Amino acid sequence: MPIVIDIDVMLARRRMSVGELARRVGITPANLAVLKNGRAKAVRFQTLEALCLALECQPGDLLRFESEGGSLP
Amino acid sequence: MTKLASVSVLVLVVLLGGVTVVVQAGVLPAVAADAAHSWPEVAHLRAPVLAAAMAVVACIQLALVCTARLVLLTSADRIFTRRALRWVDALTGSFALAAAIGVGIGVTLDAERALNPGVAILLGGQILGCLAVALLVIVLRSLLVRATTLNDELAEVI
Repeated sequence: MPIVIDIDVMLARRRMSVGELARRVGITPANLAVLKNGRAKAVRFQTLEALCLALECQPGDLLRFESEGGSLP
Repeated sequence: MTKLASVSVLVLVVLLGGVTVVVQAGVLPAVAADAAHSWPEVAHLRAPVLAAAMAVVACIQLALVCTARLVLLTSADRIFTRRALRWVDALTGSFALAAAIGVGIGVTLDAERALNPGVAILLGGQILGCLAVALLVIVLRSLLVRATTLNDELAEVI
């Protein structure tokens, strides 16, 4: 999936558990796992906003574009 | 669908169900007996035509059951499923079958020259009415399929 979500790095930096993040963002741990594994097809801005608030970061810290061929275009 | 709406529909379904039972148990046999008495030359048609008419009412009863099931599925928020669609198909089928039986009755009566204008109009009305409802349900079915697709897409948004 070209759009990659890197939550693990921020989770580690903020020393937060997956369950705690899911609770703060307001989504189920299952959905958060779907997000982490790159299986999500669409994300609400509301969810992205909640993620940035909970992890105290920018969307760019979480989202990365990886073209099919490999790294940056 | 509001609670009031679903309860109203279910009450109506039960009432109409009661009416169909009365029609099957009392009205139809009485009309059949009367017809056999008034037109003895077609008295041999009494049993088959009565059976066919009972079958038509049974189709309506099936339609009522399908309607009730769909209302219950809606209030349980399980309407956007494969199973719900099957009940819609059963609903269409029951009306289509009722229309087909009506045509069968008409053809039989016509063959025996037992089709007087009154009966013809009644039968025509029944056939057209059932066909119209079947077509309406087909149109609404495609709407349900679209709504289900949209709902599935929305469910994937995290």
